[in-house]
Amino acid sequence: MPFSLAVRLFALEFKRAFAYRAEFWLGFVGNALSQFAVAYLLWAAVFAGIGAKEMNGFSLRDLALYYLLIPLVECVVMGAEMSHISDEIYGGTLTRYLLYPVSFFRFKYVSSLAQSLVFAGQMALVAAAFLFFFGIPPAFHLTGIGFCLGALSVALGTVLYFALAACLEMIAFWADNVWSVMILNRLILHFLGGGLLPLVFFPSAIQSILGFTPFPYLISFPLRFLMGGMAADEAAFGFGVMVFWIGALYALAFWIWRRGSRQYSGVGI
Amino acid sequence: MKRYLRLYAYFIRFSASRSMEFRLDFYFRVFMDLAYYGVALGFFHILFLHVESVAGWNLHQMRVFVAAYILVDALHMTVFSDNLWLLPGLVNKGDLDYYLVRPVAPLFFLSLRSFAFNSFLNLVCAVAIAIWALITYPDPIGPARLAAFLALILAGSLLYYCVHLLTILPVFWTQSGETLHGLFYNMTRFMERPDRIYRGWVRVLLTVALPFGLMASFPARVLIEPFDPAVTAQMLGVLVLFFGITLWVWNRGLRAYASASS
Repeated sequence: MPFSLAVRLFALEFKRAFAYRAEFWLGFVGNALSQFAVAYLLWAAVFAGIGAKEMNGFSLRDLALYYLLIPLVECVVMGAEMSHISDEIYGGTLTRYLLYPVSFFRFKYVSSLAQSLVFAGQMALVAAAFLFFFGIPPAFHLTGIGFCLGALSVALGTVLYFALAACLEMIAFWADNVWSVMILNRLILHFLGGGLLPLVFFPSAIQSILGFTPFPYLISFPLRFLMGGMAADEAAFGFGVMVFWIGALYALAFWIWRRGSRQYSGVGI
Repeated sequence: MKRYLRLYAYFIRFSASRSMEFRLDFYFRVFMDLAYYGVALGFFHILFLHVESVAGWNLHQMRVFVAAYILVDALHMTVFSDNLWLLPGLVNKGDLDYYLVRPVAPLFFLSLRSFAFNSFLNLVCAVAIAIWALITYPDPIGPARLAAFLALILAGSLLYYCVHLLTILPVFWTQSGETLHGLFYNMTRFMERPDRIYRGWVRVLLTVALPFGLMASFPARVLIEPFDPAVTAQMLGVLVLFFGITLWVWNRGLRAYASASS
């Protein structure tokens, strides 16, 4: 895709994101704050019950930062929109993309990346506010390399999520509605990615299996870089698994696209 | 009353034929809610691998609580949710007119006309989970407590409906209820955790003003804790209060409604 077109797409998406500013900020704050508050209050009760200062390497303050960053990382990696491909199929508007001189997937990915950048800005603001008010938690050892690897894992996470979501959304070529599939996808990612509980709390056998799936690499993996880093071999293994899944899911997405576009009539439903 | 019951039977019959129109979507939705139940149970199961109690409740008590919030959610999804989802569109397009001229209470018609059969299957699964949680519960549970539990589950669902509707009704004035509606779904997270984790002003907020802390926790409490009439009284009091507020806002909204131009 030409760079000038990508810049224009970015500008358009930024405008769209800020068109309804009050709704944009209220939606973001409502989601992030409620998720954070519920998790924090539950863990505060857990720590009060056991009378310990640490569980599985997490203090209450570490968990507070963890649950604050979770919705932010999720927003950056997954974006706000859930039906950006299926809506085009259902509306019959996919036709215009077939005529554009750019790849449909690249066009859609750049759009979702622009949204992710908006969320990344919010994430930086909220994290800075937390560190300003509550100080740096003990588990937080962000280094320059950790930040770069965290940013790289988030960037790869956006590519990985886009491929996964594209495969599921293209079920729309055959099914009447895929909204529930997308919700299911986010629910499973949130749970198995460490959004509800840090993955170190899962039984070790499940942790080992999850290590080979794409789920932890969308939420937990970037967070670990941002909160304290990890061993070099573990990081290399994680990036390897991410690259494998990106390749596999894009191959699957292009296969579904070829089959689905043959099925596509362009009239919408 | 008889007329309304007969009408509701028609609603169910029409909904049954509509529900199988999009079969794949029907099963997707059933599976989505089952995954939600699985995640709810899995979350507490994993948490209790590391602790013996949370806010004074052990794993068995927590399972009863999870069953309670799954039941409240499934009842709401089956009976009310689809209807409330469509309400803002009816107000914006002026299609509410068709409901206002019918010889039936419009709020009854608009809140109950669609019965979600996919969610009804989930409700059956939620009942099965509740039965499992109660059978495996180590202490005896008498019929009186069970009846109180079921009554408060119904009250919790009605309260959930009232709060949900209250976040939609501003559409009569603002023409867009999406922000508040989104906030409502964010706030439902507070229902999914036991009320005892909320303390101080947060507790007052979540058990009176925004009663998400009541909806599932209080029904569970009548079953797993020593009988406390204050629990039932607070639940019913808040329900009556919210039902009154909902009716008042609904009537004010209808007065502000200006048909297709609103």
